[in-house]
Amino acid sequence: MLADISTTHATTAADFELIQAFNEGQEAAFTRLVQKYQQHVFNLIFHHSGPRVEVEDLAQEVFLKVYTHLKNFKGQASFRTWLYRITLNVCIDHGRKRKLRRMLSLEGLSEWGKAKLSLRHSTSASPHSDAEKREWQDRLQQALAQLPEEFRQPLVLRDMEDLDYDEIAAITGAPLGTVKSRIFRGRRHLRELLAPYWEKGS
Amino acid sequence: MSSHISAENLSAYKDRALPPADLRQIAQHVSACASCRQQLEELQQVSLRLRQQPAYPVPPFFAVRLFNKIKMRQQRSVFVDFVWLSRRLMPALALLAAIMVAWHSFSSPELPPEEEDYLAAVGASPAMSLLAGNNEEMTKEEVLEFVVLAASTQD
Repeated sequence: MLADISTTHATTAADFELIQAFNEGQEAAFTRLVQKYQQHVFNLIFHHSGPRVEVEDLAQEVFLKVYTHLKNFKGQASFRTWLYRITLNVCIDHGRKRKLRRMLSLEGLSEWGKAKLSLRHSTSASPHSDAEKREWQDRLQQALAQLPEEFRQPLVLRDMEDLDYDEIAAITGAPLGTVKSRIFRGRRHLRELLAPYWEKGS
Repeated sequence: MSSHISAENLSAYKDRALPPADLRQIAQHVSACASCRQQLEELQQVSLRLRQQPAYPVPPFFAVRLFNKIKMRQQRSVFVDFVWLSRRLMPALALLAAIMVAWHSFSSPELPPEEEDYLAAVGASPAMSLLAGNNEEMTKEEVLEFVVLAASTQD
């Protein structure tokens, strides 16, 4: 589960050592950084951009950017903050391109409609069996995808990546008060989207 | 009971993202207020569900494939740089060559036809002809003497 993964975050000092080693020419240090953070990057991309994206392609794009710019990393923020900011920027860029393609083809609009429809008409209540649990997970993922990006970003960082408000503010560039407000509004919005299922006794 | 806690503060309370005094005050209120407790539980349920979402499976050997891709890009980048540089340099070299040819032809006075024939007859190289042509004061005999002398020094 995601909460368990967050416990694997090591100190930033260890990250700086790896970055220093990489800048001195030890490329294995970069591989170790990738292995340390790949799960977080995959999760963040998937939960931010939804199931229809090529998560691995975007993750590769993120780490290619990291590889290219790691020499310029000054350490003003933690490596994790920097990495998550790059990840979100890659997701946002990809989202814009996808939106443009959808607008041009109109194909995605019908897909989007179908996703909403399946969310509305699914009848399963609280998750008891594995199948129901998976259904819930899919439903939650769809609901998350429907949240406006400004709410989805801080909510994913808080509840799925277990970051504190200060770090979320540093990553998203929003003031602390805004982060607090958006996390709350994201939770409320998500609760509203899933209201029929909560009421059935989850 | 004092006025209810705002839902936004309850959300921040859940995350322990408030000053300690506020956390204590809200804790006291929530323990006594069923309405706020209910709101807090609803927010906690949403968080809990999100935390229970499974991790996205990272494909095996992702880091290895990524590293290979980086190396391929680096190699391609060196080739692309070479091609780019060649394309940029080619017109510059062509222009330089054209300027040199133009300068050369303007700075070399033409020899009268009979002198060209004579120099060709004695086997003078174009460079020697050029040298001869540069000095309009030289007679044919002097040019011949110069050519013989130049040929002997080359041996």
